[in-house]
Amino acid sequence: MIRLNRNDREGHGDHGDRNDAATRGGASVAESVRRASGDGAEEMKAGSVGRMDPICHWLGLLQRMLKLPADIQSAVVVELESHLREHVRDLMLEGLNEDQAMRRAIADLGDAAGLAASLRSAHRPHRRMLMHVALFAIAGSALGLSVFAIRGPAQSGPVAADTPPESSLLARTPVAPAGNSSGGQAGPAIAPRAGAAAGAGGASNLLAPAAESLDEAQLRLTNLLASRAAAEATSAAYARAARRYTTHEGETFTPESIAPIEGRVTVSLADVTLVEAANAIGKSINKPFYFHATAWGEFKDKRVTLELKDAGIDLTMRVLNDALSMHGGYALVARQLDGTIEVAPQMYFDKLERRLVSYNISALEDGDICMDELLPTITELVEPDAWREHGGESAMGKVLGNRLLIEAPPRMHARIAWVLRQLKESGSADTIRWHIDMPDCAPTPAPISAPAAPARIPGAVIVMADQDARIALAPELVVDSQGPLIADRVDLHPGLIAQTRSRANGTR
Amino acid sequence: MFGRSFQRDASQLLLLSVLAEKPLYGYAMTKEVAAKSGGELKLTPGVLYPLLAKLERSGFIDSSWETIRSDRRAVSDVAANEGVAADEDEAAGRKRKWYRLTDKGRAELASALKDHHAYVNMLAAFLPRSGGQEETSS
Repeated sequence: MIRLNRNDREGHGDHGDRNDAATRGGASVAESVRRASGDGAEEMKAGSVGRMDPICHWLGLLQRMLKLPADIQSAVVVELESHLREHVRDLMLEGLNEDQAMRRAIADLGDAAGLAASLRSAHRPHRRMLMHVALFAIAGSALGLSVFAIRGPAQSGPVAADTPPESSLLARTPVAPAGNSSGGQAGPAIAPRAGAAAGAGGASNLLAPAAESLDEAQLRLTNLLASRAAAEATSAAYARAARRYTTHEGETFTPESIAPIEGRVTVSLADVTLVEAANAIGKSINKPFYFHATAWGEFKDKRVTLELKDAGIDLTMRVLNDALSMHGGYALVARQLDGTIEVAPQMYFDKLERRLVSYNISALEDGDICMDELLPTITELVEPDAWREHGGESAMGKVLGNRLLIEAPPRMHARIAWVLRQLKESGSADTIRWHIDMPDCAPTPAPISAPAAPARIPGAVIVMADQDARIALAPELVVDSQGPLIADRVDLHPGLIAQTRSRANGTR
Repeated sequence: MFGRSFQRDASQLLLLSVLAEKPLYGYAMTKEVAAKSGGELKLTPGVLYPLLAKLERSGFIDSSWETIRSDRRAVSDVAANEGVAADEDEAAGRKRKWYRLTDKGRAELASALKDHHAYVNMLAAFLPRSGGQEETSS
């Protein structure tokens, strides 16, 4: 372990320092870096020695940014430490003291972030190629789906018997006839969260294996649609029941869209339990008021005081959160589901509602933007606590080739798109596509603009995920008059139609 | 013919050239390049190590590790084979990564040299012999 005890070194001349430093320099590599990179930080602080060796500190910094496989990363760090130590030795032989020599050697290496990016790129050269291969596979499958969608659903004769097992909720979801997917109409009104929730049971049916052939894709889709047709033929009550999903606590919901919650709350509650408050709010608004099990937790018996007069649900929740001191992902939010108001922590809904969106950032790549800084910038600016990189659970992202893949709740996607738009405007990029993206190798759709009437863009590949992060594909992108920007709502249509609504036009 | 970045190719050519003479480790390469250029050329680590990784990945060079011994006569296997001694005494236990040109690398070097000479010759046809300044003043 490399440690500098500056007290011990007081009174020694440069010559003595040189030998000390050289001996220490050869003492360790991985151990020091491991400590510098965090594992042993406390030990370093608590030790009787002085500050950390700047070289170890720098290498630790570099190691955290390398993000390479452990063996490669370790080798890179060992090699760079050797370089630094020898450089320090030579600089000291030229007359610099140890501190000066270390700082000069480190300065010669340049900034850790830049070097880490170069090394990462040099050691992971196939990343983009692999991404393209994956996208190509996705595009191939999607093309198959598109072709099928144009041809319309298969007859549900013999295949209808191939009904998915009971657990496959999606197969039992009441759907519009699949022919709608090529019918030139707007996508039928469907509940976004129905897709998300039901996807837990049915998305596996939609998963397109990368190696799947066109015939296999069509057959799989045929089976799926036939199954749905069978489910559709069942009674509405049965279908409605099939759309319910069960929480880990055993409660059931019927998911509906994230719609503004109507109703006003007037309550005057003094020192009541949360249960009593919930009941009073529900009574005031004249709707069932359901607190999700995860919302109770330790707060179930907490006492609150509320004084509300003709308040909306948003204000009610804000006041409730203040009373409970709940913030961030733990703050309670409400959704209206089939007439019932569901209340749960923000992070609970985030998991249900988050969508995987692929942003095309190729236009940014051509500009002056450092792509390695792109995701960190976004995670710092857009709800920092929500990101997995920062210990959150609501959002995660990755830059792969010219794609920025982010899974996050819709509200975050809107903000992410705004950040990207700023970068685009500051860079040299001329255009950037904000809509849910399609791989380069997919059929090129017509230029996207805001049409007066809903338009369908065949061939687009929509990548979506349900709350279990399973990915499904849809062969069409529906753009309505609100513009084709990012998906502030991406719905998994049972008939494999994705509908996006946007608030801004990224092509402008 | 010269589609690739000349500067990037120059760094690669430089590295392949110094490694054609003898195996070297990273820091020694920077010193070798500086010494050969009279201090005019500085191969920075930010260029050197990513480039080494790229060359190794391409199969132009290979590498082996040397653990510096404490007996003041640390000689790597690579160095011993090539007669290169590293008499480090103060770096006992530290590791060095030695690089050596492969046959594929030698072929690449030969090809790159050929391209380089062709480029220089082509450029020479456009340049005045004594430089523009002299021509103007004379």
